[in-house]
Amino acid sequence: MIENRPIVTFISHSVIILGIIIIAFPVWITFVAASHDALRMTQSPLPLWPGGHFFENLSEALFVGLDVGGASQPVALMLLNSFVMAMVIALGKIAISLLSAFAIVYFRFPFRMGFFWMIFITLMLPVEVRILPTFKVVADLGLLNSYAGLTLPLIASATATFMFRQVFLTIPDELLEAARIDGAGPMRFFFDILLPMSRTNIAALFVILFIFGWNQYLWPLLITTDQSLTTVVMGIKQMLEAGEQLLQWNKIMMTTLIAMVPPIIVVVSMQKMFVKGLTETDK
Amino acid sequence: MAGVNIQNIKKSYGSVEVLHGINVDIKDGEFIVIVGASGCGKSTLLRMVAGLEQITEGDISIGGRIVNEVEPKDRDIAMVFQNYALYPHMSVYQNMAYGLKLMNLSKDEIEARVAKAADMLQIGDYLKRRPRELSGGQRQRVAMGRAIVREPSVFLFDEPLSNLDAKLRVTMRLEIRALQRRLDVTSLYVTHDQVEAMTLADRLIVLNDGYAEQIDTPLNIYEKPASEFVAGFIGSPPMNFFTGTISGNGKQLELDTGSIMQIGDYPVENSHGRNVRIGVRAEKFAPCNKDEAELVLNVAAVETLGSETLAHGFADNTDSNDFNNSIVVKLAGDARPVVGEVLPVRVMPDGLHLFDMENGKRI
Repeated sequence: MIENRPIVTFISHSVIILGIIIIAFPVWITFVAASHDALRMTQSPLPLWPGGHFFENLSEALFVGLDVGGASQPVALMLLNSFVMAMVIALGKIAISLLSAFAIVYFRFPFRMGFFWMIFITLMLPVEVRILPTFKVVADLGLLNSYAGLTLPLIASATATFMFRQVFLTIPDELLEAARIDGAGPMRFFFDILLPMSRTNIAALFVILFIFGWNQYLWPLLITTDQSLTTVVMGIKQMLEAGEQLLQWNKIMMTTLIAMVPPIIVVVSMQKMFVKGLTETDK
Repeated sequence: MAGVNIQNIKKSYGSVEVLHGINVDIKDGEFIVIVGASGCGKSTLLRMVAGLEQITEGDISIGGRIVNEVEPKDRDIAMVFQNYALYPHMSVYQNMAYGLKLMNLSKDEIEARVAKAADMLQIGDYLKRRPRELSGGQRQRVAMGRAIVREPSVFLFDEPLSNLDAKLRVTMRLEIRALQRRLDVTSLYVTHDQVEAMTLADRLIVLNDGYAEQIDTPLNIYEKPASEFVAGFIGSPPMNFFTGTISGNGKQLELDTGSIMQIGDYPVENSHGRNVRIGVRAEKFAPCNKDEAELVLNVAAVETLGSETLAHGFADNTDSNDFNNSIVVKLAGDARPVVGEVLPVRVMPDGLHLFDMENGKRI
């Protein structure tokens, strides 16, 4: 839209700035709170400008942790747990969906469409809906308090399967035929042709799924009782259950700040591929 | 090097039969063009030779070996696709080398073969580029390069030039022909373009609705079309057709429009009174005086092409609105007929083709 009236510019900019403030202010407060000592955070009014304890809080949170409530682990360990969980979920989902989409698009087997619709219907059954039976299954398999239990039930993904199916359908049949004449079997075709051609889509999906995995809260909370498997998102919640003790807001905020960093890194570093993967249709 | 033998090949999709028994023996080094309207089964036939399509009935052998159940990669063939089917994420070099890599050839051998093919096709300068950075003609060359490096016994072309512009098509046509001569590899080439068919082929297969109407050299097909379909399909502008009766003891044709044509020495015996379809090519009409005319045209449209002039018209007592039934006469480039003019013509001595009324076969 090309419009050159100052009043319109003023209003639209005001809306943008207001939006930025609404989103950025809490983050700023988090940052400020993370840079004061615990005592200052209990006093009123809340500080609006950073204090001098940022790095002290950072190292203490990362490597020592808070000795409150259930959260007695250093945040570094929680970060590692979250990272492993998010990575396994994202990569696992991508691997499984790529293979199932490959099967559905390129192989003729009985009830092919039936299987496709079965996968598709699971879109309606996210973890939250099937949480009790899933818990029972995981418990019976003896996977409570393990990375496998944390990640496996979250790996099956109808969305990703569906997306890769659409991507594969846009790839011309002649490419498959050319590969057959060149002597590529199905798996070679998959790895040499399909995979590289879906590169940007895989990247886009990875971004979405990594954040999905990183933000998991309910499932890890249910499945882990072992402190060494606490994830960052759970950790923050547990820090708030200090009971009789004083809430250490500075460190809680520091942990929050730390928890925000990995998703930001993923989004920023893969931003270009992300946009390409979601918009590019030309094969 | 190997010939291809196609023996009574049939293809059905479910209960629909699309090829009804094709027989052709292709000699080593021969360039065969399969031509036909879209949907006649020509690509299906080619894809069956390639092994991309199951054979319902019959046998295909390449170099004396029946390949019905042989995987495409083991048939010793290479194929060029209509949309090139280049791997978009690979460079030109990788595209050509991919098949060789899967053949487990040594790196040196692969490099040598690609270099040789690239040199032959003049694509040496963009071996590092991706297909999307190439023009249509260059992509076409790469697709051919990918076929050449395999050093196959048989080349299969599936309408390889139909995505190119007219000028490039002419050059590539000549190049393909020269290349095939040089490599002396048996080739099957599918096209719907009759100019390509006529210029490239050693022998043509004219397919119609799953039947091979005629298999012969381009000239024979042009001069002695085996059926009305072939006659109408090959040649531009298309052949003119009339319906008539043989009369005058096999010496004359009486057209339904009332005109009389002389049969001359066309071999029709004992056919007095037989209803026939009569075909005359546009260039086999000669303008003449009104009193010796066999056909008098009312010119309804003129196409001036420079090297020749096409006059479309209607015999004087036929309805003159439907150009599907118009008669076209090819005149010299400097002829200037005018719309509305009366154009008397006669058929040149060897210009007549007669076909059976019922089955369309040549008489």
